[in-house]
Amino acid sequence: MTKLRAQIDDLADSTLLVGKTWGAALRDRAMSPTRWLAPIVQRAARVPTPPVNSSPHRVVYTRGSMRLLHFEPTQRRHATPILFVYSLINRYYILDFLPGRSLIEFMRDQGFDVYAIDWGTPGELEEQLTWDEALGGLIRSAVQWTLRVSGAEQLTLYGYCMGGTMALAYAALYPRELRNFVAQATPVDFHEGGIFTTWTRPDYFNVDSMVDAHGNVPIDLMESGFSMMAPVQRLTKWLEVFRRVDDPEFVTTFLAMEAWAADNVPFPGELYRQYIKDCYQENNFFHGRMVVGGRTVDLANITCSLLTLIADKDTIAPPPSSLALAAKVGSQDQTTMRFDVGHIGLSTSSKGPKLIWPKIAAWLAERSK
Amino acid sequence: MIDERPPKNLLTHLLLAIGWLTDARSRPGRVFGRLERAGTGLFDRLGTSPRFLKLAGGGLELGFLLRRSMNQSAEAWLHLLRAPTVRDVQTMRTQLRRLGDRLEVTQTQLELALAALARVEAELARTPRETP
Repeated sequence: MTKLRAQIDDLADSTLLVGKTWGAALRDRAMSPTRWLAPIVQRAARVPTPPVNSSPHRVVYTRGSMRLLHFEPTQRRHATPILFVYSLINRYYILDFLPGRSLIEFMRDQGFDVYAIDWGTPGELEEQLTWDEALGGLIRSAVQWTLRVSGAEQLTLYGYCMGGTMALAYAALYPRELRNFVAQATPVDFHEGGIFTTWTRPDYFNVDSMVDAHGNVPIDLMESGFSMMAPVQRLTKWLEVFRRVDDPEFVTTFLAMEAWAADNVPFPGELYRQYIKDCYQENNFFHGRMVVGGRTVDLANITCSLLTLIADKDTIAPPPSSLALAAKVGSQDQTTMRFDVGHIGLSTSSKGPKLIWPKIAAWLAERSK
Repeated sequence: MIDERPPKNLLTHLLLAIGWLTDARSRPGRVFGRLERAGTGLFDRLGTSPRFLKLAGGGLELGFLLRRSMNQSAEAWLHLLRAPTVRDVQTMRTQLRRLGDRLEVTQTQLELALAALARVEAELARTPRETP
């Protein structure tokens, strides 16, 4: 009798939860399936909210919506600090995913003094943010504050995805304080950029009209672009979670990933306009024709040690797009590492702490004395 | 991370049942799998079809132009009535948030400066003063 009552209570609670969740999603006109399904899966699996982005840190500098975060190691073993530059699409904390599955946490535990740029949520004031201000203002300030706080003279710039492209452009314009550069899943030859190269062709996509209409690129437009890459799988991947809903570890990792993927931010408009034109449409970045603040971005100016990380199953920065970097830079000390994962897998895969990150840390340790 | 499997509730059973019905190892799942592959193929073709992309791009552009002119006229009316627009309120909110961030970071930077000052003072205290 008690068991039956508990089951009825459970059914009532579940119905209430489904009603509340779907009501809220409907009210917000949510496009992401995460908003519709995550609370239901979380309740069914009886797992707590995934503890993403939980490494302790402090904010050492801020400018506009950008914040520079410091992840201090318990015992510092390397003189050269690492500064992570993440993409303006989604949030930086994919690099600080879950405890035990966090690249930032791993590097910090290896004794590196770690810093990361959090671009924050761009607002009205970022609509006019240009590449010149992002590189010469924001990233340059972040580099200077990293050096100041860590007491080092040079650092490792660690770029990921579009953040890697921005960091490469920065390194080409301001190469002096760089000891090492890590380019993780970074698109370089944009005419090898897969489906995005096709979709952003000037005869299909008028970037000017979008930026003029919206200022910053709104979240739902960014989301619908990514959804169109695999619209069926975007829904059916949830069925795999249903099948494994009694596996708390799998559900926690999945929900953490979905929470991050759904945490989109608007893309600064003017920066997006030049990104699409100079990178995807004209491929000026690759051919050394991109002009930022009156100066040409020439990747040959990069002479520091370079590590290129390739995800073999990457569809956002396909391997040919990233592999093109090696021939463009002036670095004598170059290493390329390839891993059998996808774009995000380099930072979140269970292979990360076992197979991928120890190799990166070892490469960096040799060059961070 | 998490080792113990919690007891199943009704929702768990329901989701497991939906999962089973769409699993390739079950008969309905095999039908579902065929539909999924067909859907994927269709979207793949659409996503690379020049005609569709041209049409979708044209539609988007039209929408952007419409939005731009609507925003401009709405803001012009609100300004005429001396009422704040959504953009004005958002800008104010952003500025307030940033003020909070600046305060937080000023505190951190002051702590860093004090730590540096303490180091210099300790260094000076250690160095014996030269007497003339």
